[in-house]
Amino acid sequence: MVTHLDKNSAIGRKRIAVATFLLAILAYPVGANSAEGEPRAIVDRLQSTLIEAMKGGAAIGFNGRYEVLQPVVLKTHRLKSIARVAIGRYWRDLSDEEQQTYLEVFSRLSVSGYASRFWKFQGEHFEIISENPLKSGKVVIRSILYLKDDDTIAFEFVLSEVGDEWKIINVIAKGISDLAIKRAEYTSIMSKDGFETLLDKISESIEKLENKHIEEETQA
Amino acid sequence: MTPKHQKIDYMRENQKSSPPRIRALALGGLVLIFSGCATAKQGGTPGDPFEKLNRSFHSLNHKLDTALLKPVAETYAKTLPKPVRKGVTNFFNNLGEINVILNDLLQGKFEDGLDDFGRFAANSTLGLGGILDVATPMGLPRHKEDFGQTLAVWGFEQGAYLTLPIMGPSTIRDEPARLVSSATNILLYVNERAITFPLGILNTINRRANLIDAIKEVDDVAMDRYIFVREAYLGDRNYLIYDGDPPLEDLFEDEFDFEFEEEEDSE
Repeated sequence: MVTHLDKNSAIGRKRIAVATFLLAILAYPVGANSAEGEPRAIVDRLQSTLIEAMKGGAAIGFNGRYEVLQPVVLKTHRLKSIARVAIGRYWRDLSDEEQQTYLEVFSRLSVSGYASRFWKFQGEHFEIISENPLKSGKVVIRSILYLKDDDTIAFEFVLSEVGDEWKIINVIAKGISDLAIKRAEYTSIMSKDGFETLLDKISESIEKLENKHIEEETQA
Repeated sequence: MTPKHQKIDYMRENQKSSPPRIRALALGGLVLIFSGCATAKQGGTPGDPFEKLNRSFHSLNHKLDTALLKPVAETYAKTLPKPVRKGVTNFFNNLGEINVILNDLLQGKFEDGLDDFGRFAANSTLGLGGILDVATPMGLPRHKEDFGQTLAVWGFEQGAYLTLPIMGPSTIRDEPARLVSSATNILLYVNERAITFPLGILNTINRRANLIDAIKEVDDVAMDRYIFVREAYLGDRNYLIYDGDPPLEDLFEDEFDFEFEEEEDSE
């Protein structure tokens, strides 16, 4: 009984923590250095939310970080286009229903990736260092993530504009393109094993991401 | 450090860590592979004409690692305190500095070459034979140069992607880097197997231990492990060739653009 009460109380605390973080995100002044909607502001908003999710850490758990990140990832990324490019020419072969299912799991995978990787705060911070237009009209924002122990990770965010909206269409970390890897993997799986296998593998990945830090989070 | 970053370090370290004898065997194997593949077209994606063979070596390497190296490396990591492991890593990095300096010069990066020589001198003396990295706090950070990057700077094409038994991912352009890396390593010239053999083992285990989290991330995230490693390896090599500043226009491939236009039109 005592355990049950403790558990309820822990869940209650987590909910309060999640709610606090959601409020913090909503209240965050978007794009302190630039106007909202501009590429820099979009990246700035994502990065701020990642730091907030990290600060939430084990206290809010994977699900808490997911809740914090989901609205911002959906708002700042052109996920439908990314998913479409990731699966390449096989997109056209999917039925409307299959496309919808695929977009849903792809979206969950994208948010889960952030919620799993940005899970603990140890004084990290981002700094946007440049904004450069490409010939195609897209924009690349270069940013550095400063880690503890003086280590850094260079990020490049590629953004495109549709209508008046700038959104992220690819993230490159230390020269490694997330979209290039996904596209190579997905098209290979589609050519060899088909759509159901791809869905299964994405779902497996999501599950692994969810459980990646479960031990540390249970102890926290 | 992100998982991707750690993973790539793993792959890069992996290709430099094999004993000379294994390298010689692998080079012999490479000749066989190419002579065989000249007639046996295996299909695969562009840039990866040997995909089928590569995949079987990738699978072999993964099994060998899981069965042999990984358990030893995990025990090593649990047993030795972090500062000791750091010292071991520094020691072997320092042995690789001659290779870095040589390739600095071959690429015309004379200032870096001078800095790296200063780094090597400082770490070899004040740093007690390289165990301590005293150079980084002195403003001489570690550079990552090798002969594969030099060949790229000289204008050689990347060539086919390769996965070799034991040694892991590479490309035709990166293969000669193994020889240059060996030839510039002082250990090659120490004719005392009682010293070089245990050091070689220690280096391999230590490198693997440094990459435990990175490889776990690959295992967790990769949907097709072979392709994940291939794409990440090639991306990382390009990043190193340009010293972390690849041309912006390369960041979004043309074929991607075409499909984006199409998708965006329909949104």
